[in-house]
Amino acid sequence: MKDRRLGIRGWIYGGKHNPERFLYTLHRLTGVLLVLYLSVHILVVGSRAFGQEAWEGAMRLVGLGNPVVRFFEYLLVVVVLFHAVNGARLILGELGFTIGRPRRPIYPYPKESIRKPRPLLWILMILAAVYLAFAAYNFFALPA
Amino acid sequence: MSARKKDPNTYIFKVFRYQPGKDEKPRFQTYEVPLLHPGMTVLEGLIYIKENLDPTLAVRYSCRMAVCGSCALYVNGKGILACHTALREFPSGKLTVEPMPNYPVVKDLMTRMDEFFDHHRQVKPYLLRPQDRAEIENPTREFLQLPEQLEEFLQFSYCIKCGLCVSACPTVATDPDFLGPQALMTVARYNRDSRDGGTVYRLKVVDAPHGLWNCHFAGACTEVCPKGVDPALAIQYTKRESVLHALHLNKLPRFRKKLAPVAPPPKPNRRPGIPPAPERTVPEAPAS
Repeated sequence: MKDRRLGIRGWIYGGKHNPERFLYTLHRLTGVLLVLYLSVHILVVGSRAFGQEAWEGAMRLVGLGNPVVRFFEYLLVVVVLFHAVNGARLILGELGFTIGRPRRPIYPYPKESIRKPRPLLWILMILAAVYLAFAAYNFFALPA
Repeated sequence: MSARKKDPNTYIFKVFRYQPGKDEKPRFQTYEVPLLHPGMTVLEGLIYIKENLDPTLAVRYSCRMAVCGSCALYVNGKGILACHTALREFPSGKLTVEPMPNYPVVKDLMTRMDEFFDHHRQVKPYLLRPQDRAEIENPTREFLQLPEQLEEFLQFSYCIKCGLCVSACPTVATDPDFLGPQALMTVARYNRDSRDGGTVYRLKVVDAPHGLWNCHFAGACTEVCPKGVDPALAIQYTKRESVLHALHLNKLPRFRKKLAPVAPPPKPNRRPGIPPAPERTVPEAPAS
């Protein structure tokens, strides 16, 4: 208790909540999930090294015919898409685009670095949502 | 605690109380503070508690006008300067006052800032000019700087080191060794200064584990900053600079930094051709 460090709780708590803060948490979370997925992916694809039967067995296990696998595959699309879209936004900002220039801090403060790219943030998230809606249709409504 | 306060001129302070080494764990103590004048601040409320209700309350403050950065704390989960926030900003009349998170507590609302200033010192927060060390050690004249060059970093030099950005940063919450928004912002403040030539030295410190790239632009530092410094902007500029250096693009004329020159020595004589002053028309006033 002495330190009062927030730990994981600090990813969503503390300070005034702005949307970028939640995207930060999601970006870290999806990053970890992608690393986990990558290891599973390599294991599954690597089964080909043990012969055709192993490969076909693995494909039967994780093929899209299985509704549970299909759900997780869709989740993977969500995770990849969010990480990619948000990553593009972060790279733009980190290379100095979209974030504005230093200004004299005259009240009310401009807070340019987060206010200026915010429309872009919403546009990207809406585009991602539209894409995910199409993907959901593709995954669940159409026959495999 | 009552659901609504009865008197509109009374504010209920729920204050975090904790003395490490003495108390087992923190507790909250409730005080009722009257609104003494319309512009009364949270800090004035805390001083009222200290003077009239409970002298054992520990709160750090100095200037009372948002210049020194001593009284940063959290009210209702939001980081503020206590001296810079009016009680009337809380229409519910209830204030939960806590010390800044992510810092060790000295007592009650006071937090230990050692680590914060340690990180600040690590990024060399002063003008570096290895190119002409003699001038820095024995200055002869000032450096020449244009107003546009001043605007490049002026916003970042308004930092009062209150530490609110570090308390709000989600990366600091899970990584104690992360330099923090304040130190990373200071890098941009000096690297963007045309009088400074130490960009490479500072990038060496921050372009490392627990440095620059642990920031994922959550923007919490900018949102919470009570002086409008915009640390997130400064950090993104430092990232851009780091990328330019890694790709050696900083040698291109477009990105190359031109060091501000030392001002030339003053000319001994006035401009030639100026006529002498005319004769006096009124007698000189006697020396008093």
